[in-house]
Amino acid sequence: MDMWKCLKEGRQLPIPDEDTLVFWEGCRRRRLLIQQCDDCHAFRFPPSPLCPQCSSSMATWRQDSGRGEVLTFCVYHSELAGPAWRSKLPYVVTVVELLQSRVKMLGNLMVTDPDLVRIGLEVRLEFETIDNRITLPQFRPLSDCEGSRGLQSRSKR
Amino acid sequence: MPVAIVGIGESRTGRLTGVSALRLTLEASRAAMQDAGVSASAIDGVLTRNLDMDVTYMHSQHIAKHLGIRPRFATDINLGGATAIAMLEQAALLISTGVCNIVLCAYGENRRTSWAFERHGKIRMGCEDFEECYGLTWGMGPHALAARRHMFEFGTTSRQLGMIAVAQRQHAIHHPNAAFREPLSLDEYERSPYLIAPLRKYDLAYIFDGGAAMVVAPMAWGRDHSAAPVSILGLGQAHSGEHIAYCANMVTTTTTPARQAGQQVFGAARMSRQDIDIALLYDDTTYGVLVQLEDFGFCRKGEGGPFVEAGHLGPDGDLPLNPHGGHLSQAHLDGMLHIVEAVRQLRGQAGRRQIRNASTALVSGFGGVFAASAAAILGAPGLPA
Repeated sequence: MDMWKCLKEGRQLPIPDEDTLVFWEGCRRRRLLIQQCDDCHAFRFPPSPLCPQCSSSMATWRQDSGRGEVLTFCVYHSELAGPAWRSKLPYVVTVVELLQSRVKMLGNLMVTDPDLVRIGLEVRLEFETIDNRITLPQFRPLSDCEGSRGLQSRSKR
Repeated sequence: MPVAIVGIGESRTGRLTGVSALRLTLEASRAAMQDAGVSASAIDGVLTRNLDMDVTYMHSQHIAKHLGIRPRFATDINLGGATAIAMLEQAALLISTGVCNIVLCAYGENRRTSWAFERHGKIRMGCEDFEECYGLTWGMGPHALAARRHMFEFGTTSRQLGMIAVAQRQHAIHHPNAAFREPLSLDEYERSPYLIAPLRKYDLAYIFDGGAAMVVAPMAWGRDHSAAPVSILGLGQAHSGEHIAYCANMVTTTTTPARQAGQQVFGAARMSRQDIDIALLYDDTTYGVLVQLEDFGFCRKGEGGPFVEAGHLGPDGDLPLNPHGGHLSQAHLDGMLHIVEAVRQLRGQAGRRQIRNASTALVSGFGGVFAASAAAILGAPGLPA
């Protein structure tokens, strides 16, 4: 289903709206804010007006430390996402489970050698400032010898 | 009330610069109406899928108007890649409840070429603000994430995925309207570059322009008016509960809603996996096929790789897969051509790629990234409904 999205010249950036503004404003201030339901206490991401677990509209934004673990990843070797990504090839897109709030987030994994990335790798949050409106949450391996310390154990299922 | 597919239509497919989605939709619709032997005045239901690249107000009525149809019921259905089967189910519901008698399901897109032109507007996917900024492309990117997780859990290999691409190409070689008809070897697959590792060039389907349509009617009408009505023996549809456009949760589980849709469709048709002669499984990527082989119950969870390796899927296998070449080798039209091909095979009209004695077909669709699964079991003309 590529070939019909993301083909504009520049990088496609988020467009904050009524439901996501707090999240993006938090990122701009270098805080990762995740919604927690006031009634059933479930965390949810991406931001949503109602809790998918209990339909409550009452929620509180909690700051997350941004520590997490790689659940899976892929490596782009082609500029399917458009010309803006040409200079970044190869780049890694990962799904990270945050250890604190247990939500799953997408991000780029900032590594020099994608071959060393493993499922189970521990990561930390790093903010990438794009412009004065948008700052993106990104991830970087926790250990300095990036990628070489991926947890070998399978995650609990 | 037993319901049948009584007409199918397929437009040109490929890189069709300058051909509008409207034209492709109308060409396919006209072909389906001619195939069914019905005029516009006989059709009282119109189902369409709105255009991803140019969302159109009351699209189904727009299409009806251009075909000269004055429907009793018209609406747009968008369930992503599950749309084709969802249309079929909606048509069956309209007919069996007596709301409509003959329903046209029509589809046309020119996504391959139209992105280069100015359009009025494109569809909002839902959660792209949390995906596209990371260079994740819709569809294939999340499939690569899911395939990596499956490899981690079960030891599935790239070579096994390649065997799916090769099997489908073996079929497509004999399809005159397929984009890729040159033979593909496993060696060639393994030499091809990773586009989104762990997926290679031949693991990915590419969007093409094209249209497809079908006409649905009561089986009794089909027997009286049509030479070869194909019966709808069962339908199923299930949703993961994830937002259709947000992939993170779905790609880290290796089970998809095809499991529930499969239970529904096999239950409704009162059939088992062994009763299926051909499988037309939705194929954004080879991995999407592998996970459906598991979730529809052709093998156990985690055993998709060895199942593929055992050689079931090619023209000589016992479960020939996507005899039209599928999205991977014919053209990606959101699963519409899977239904068109199933009907051709069950009628015995598939020419050199005809699978012998094909009397039952499982056809599936996936909407979003494993977010919605839809499935139908179709039966050859003459098979008791």
